[in-house]
Amino acid sequence: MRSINLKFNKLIKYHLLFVCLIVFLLPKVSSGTNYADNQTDTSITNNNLPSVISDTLDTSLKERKIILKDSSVLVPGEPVTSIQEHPQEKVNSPHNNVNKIVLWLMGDKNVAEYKIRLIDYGNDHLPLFLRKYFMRFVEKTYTYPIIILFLLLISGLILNVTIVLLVMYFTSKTKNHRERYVRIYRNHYEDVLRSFLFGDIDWDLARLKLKRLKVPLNRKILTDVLLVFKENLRGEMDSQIPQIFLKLGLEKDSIKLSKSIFYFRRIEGLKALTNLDPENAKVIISNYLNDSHITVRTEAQVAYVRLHPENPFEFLKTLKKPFTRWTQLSSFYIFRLHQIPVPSFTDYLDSEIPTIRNFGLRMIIFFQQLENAPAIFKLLDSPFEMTRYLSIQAINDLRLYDGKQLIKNIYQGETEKNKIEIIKALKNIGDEADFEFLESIILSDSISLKTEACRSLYYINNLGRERLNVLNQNSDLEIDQFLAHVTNSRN
Amino acid sequence: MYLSDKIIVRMKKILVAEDNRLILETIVHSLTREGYEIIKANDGKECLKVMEENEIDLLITDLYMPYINGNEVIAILRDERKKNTPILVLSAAGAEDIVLKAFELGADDFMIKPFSLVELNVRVRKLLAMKR
Repeated sequence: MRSINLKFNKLIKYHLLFVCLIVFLLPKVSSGTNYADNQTDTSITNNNLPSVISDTLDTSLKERKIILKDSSVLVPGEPVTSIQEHPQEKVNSPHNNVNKIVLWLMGDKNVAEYKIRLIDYGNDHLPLFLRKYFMRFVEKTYTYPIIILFLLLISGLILNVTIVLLVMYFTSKTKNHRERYVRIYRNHYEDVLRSFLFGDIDWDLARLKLKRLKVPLNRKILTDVLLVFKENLRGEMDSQIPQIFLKLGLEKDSIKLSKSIFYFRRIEGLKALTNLDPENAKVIISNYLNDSHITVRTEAQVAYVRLHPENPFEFLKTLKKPFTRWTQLSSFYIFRLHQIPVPSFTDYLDSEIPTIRNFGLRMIIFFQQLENAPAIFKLLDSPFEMTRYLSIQAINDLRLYDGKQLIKNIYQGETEKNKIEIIKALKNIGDEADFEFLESIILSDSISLKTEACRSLYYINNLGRERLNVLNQNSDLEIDQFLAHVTNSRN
Repeated sequence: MYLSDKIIVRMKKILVAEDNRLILETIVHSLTREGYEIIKANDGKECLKVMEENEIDLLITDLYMPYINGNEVIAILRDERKKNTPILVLSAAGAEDIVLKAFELGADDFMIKPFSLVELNVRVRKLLAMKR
């Protein structure tokens, strides 16, 4: 690092010298030569001669004549006499002060046009006191040797690169310093808290050893350490950790964070409060259950499940935003991890939000809540495909025989996905009365429906298998091939 | 009887493999107070190296560690060497399939985080007694 620092210093030093050289020396040198050059060059360009020639015509009139006579470099039909006959008349042309390389690069028409545009722009947009400086700048730009412009450009580039490198260097240095600081204090706080929790030292001594707690970063480090303790340890220590959090007044920081305008800070605050100060958290998270930011909302909803074991999903009744799949999974994980008593999910089947209804159905299936059958049947009329799909699945998984006729009734108007689910349900809750229904499906065109119907008919009972054999013999549907597929253990 | 038990306990060497420093040091602190000799490993690779070089009476390992994870450590130990060393898995992942896989590979016990240090000490004592 030190060597890099020295190199940077050298680079800046040389760069400054270089810029000084350009600013103080080169303009003086160039201003002495410009006038003579311009007199001859502009006269040539006005006659539309190639600029290659003009570069070579600096020295003497004799040389000019020799070159101009060379017909191979002249454009046929172009008048060349003016330079020989009236060289002085061309001095007052529009480009008399313009750099020859600029002319060569841009062409004389463009040069004049751009210059006029720049001047017009200055007149139209700049305040009066700035105009004269602007005009001077435009004039200078057109008269300075282009090499100086290039050198200035390169200097600017070097300066930019140097600044970027310096910023990177100092950012990296600051980051490393901060990481080292965090590591040292984290280890220190861990050791002190461990000694206190194991009873090696009393609270007064521990408080003395917990240094620099007025610094916000240190308070954050300590909160993180307490969170890790809380998340990993149970038992006696489990109750001591929130007490430490409150004794040190760290909850004030977390409450402040939870009100931050930045969503990630709000999450940080909510997480700390949920784990270490549940009473405060209960009040605060209720404000974020319908937060506009999805991540904050998820954090608040998951926290609610954890903090309200008596009724973990009560918030779903007041939820106005969709209950996302990720939140459903996170809530379910927390629910299982903390072994929270399972509530009845019937209430959520009436929700206006489809994602909540679907979640309720999934939970009913998972926890086998058979008492919710009437509410499940109602959802077969839902306008949402997924809700109907989950209702059919619930009828199948919970073996709700009363729902069999209902799903058969809606079969014709269903999507292919739901039709397959209905046929699958008949495999488990069907009987001889459903043979005709399944046979009609086998006679249909859809291969996937046929396959599923064959499977259901085959597994309902032996009578179903006999019906399949009869159907196979009496028709050219090649049912034996479907049977080979459904009876294969790999499918 | 109690005294002789204590003497045997003091002789036992336990290897704790855990990548979280806070958890590692807490377990080490707790078990050291119980009179065991503790060796620390911060990842799976280090754990296998320590197992190779020392006569370990019990291994306490996390499942998710850098380089070589806990399941791989268990599989290697059960396949190649140290077949009789009791292994206690300590992990935050408590899903049924994960627990079952650890037992299938040869773990002797499984504790899910958050865990109680008192419970850990009891289980360690039990596993060491079984080995004896």
